[in-house]
Amino acid sequence: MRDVAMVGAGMIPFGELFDQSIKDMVSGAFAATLASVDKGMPVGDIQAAWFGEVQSVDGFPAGLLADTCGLLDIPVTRVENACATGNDAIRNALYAVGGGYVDVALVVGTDKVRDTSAASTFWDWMSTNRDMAWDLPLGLISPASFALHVARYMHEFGATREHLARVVVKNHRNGARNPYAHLRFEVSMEQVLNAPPVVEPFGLLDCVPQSDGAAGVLLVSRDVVDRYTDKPVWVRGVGTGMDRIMHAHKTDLSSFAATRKAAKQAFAMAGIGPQDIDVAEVHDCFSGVEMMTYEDLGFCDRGEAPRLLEKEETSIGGRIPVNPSGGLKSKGHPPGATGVAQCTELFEQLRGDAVNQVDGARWALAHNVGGPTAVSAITILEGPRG
Amino acid sequence: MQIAALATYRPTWADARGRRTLGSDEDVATLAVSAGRLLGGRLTSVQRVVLVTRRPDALLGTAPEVVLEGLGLDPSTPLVEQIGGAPATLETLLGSAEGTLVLAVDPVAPAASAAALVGPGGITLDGRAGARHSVPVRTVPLPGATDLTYDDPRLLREGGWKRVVRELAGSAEGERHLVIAGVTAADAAKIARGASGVAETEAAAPLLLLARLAGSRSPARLVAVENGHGVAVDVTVAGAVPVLAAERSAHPAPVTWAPSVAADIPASPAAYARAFEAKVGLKAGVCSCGELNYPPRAQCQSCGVLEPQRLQPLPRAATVYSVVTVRANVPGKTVPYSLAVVDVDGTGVRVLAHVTDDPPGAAPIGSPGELVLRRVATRAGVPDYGYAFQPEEQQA
Repeated sequence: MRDVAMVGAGMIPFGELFDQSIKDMVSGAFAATLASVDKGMPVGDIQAAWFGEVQSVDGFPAGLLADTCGLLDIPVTRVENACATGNDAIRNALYAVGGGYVDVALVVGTDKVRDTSAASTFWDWMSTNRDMAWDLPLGLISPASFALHVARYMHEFGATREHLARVVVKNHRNGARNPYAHLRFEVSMEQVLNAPPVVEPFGLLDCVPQSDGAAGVLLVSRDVVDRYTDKPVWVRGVGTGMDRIMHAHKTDLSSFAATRKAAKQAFAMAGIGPQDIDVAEVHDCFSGVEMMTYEDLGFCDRGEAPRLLEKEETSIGGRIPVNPSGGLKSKGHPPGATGVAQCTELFEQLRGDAVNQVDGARWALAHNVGGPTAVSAITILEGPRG
Repeated sequence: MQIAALATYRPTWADARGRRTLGSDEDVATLAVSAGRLLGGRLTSVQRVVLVTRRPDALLGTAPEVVLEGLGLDPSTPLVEQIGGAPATLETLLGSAEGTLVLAVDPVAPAASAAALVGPGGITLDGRAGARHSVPVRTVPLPGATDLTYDDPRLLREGGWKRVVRELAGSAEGERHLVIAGVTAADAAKIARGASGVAETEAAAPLLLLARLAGSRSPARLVAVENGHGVAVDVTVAGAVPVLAAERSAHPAPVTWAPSVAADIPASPAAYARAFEAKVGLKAGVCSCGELNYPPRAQCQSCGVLEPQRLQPLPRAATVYSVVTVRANVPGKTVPYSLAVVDVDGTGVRVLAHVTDDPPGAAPIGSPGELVLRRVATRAGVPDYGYAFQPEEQQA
């Protein structure tokens, strides 16, 4: 496989974007992505595109990218893989460039959550990834699906709601300084612990907001990278891991099996281990998910994730800073855009341009987990010095 | 005719007046199963089922197949739906041959259900008498509509109940005790001196009274009344009769079970139909390697072989593996509700289920209990049945 570089990454500020259509969002992210390429990127250089979108609320998905951005002469494919859509779309583009089929590929991810009513947002989105006969009628809403894992983890390893709240406080502290974040404010431990309950053990502030947004990245082969930048970020590893769809069929809810499988693939491909990662963007759709994921990614031993939080090792300045962008929790979570926007953040981190810069970061990891906790996608990036 | 065994069930929830009332996940079908399943292994002798209620959930619905599957009976077993109150239950018993399972359900507070297995046993009913006059004080319209009551309770008591009881209590002489079904116990005492009854007033009442009489050997005259209609029998208890009762201590029911935000939950009757036997019968797929797969799967979770799996009923005892409580306002759902993943004891099988008959959040990881058939949702107006986890009652 050829080496593949990320030469551009851009996004629009996430938020409740009632004034923007999905076409506005996609064209905004496309423009920002093109503008981020150091030496410029003519649209005509792009040879294939992947469009990550979980739920189409405005018609034919691939056409939204192709038609809106003038990409009518290249193949455009929609990727849908639940909340792992963003990083999985990047994997698809990587295969095309690394495999030698195209030299320049575009990935754009988006979702528009706020164009549907509250009730239909609940059930239409849930219908995209619940078993129709067995699980959907039970009201296994997304926070409950994840909370069943977190509750079991807390039971086995003695983690508390305070540990979960540490994730929230940390990520809001980071997101408050990120101009692209949806929720740009800090929260206190007391606010998190006293917020109205959503699904115990999660209160309102343990949960992601419902965000609209879009983000893009440009991947090119080593053969052409010099045309676009002298500071490429290398895509060294990708992985997409699956797990059983139904909670009744999963063997161990104190872990996310999909994440473990994706991590194994991505680390093997990159030829590094979790101890090499300098900064990570981790899927913190609900506070406890970030905590558990430290273990599934290998950032610490089994049962040690609460200690990582107590010692602030995942805060900026710690051993392995997680979610310097603010994470999904503060930056927002338009599912199709989320993984792509994680890479936008890491692109800046590895080039030394991030708002909440992790000093000297060389290796970075982006992680999604989604659906009925049944899919995870991971991208491992290496900075220009590599 | 004789009765071989009886079973009675009262829901756990109580209304503001202390009367038992249905949970959000109960209806005529689940109540019938809750009583009938108490008969356990005796159900293997059932040849025919009659489901008696004054208030069916629907005139054409899904109750018969749910009741048969929920009881583990062959779906080809004859089942008759009988609309009627207390007199109808008695008439049904008297007209039933050995092997008939009579299920009587009162879904409106005071709610209860009961089952009687007709066959050689310790309770004998004979000396049938009937009376019928038109005293239309109470009217029960079609399902879902409010009852109509003519504003004259004395007319109902004097011109209806008392007249019927007077005509039918004739043989209640000497040592034969008079029991009245179809009115509350308080009204029974007002109708005839020394008469007794139960709180429930519709189809289940005669069976609830028979269950009580089974404990004593004294002969009784049982009169079932409804408006101006009545049926009476002599009850003789000659030997031990199994009476199985399920009645948990009462929990106050919320003022309404209705979701605070209405919404249609997406439905696929085709998907439900495919899942029906496993979902309503609590049956796992059995692989040739011996592994139990629940919900059933195309591919065995253990050995990986892709081959059709026969279905086999699972045991009901289970233990909470993980549990969470939803408190956010989910459109179309009654909140709060607890969702649990439970280990079915001794099987290696897990089930995702609502926690029922317990205040949400009260049963932590490790709690023992059992899986019970419930209406887990109503989608596009159609009831959707499956299993809920009922935690074992805490000893006070």
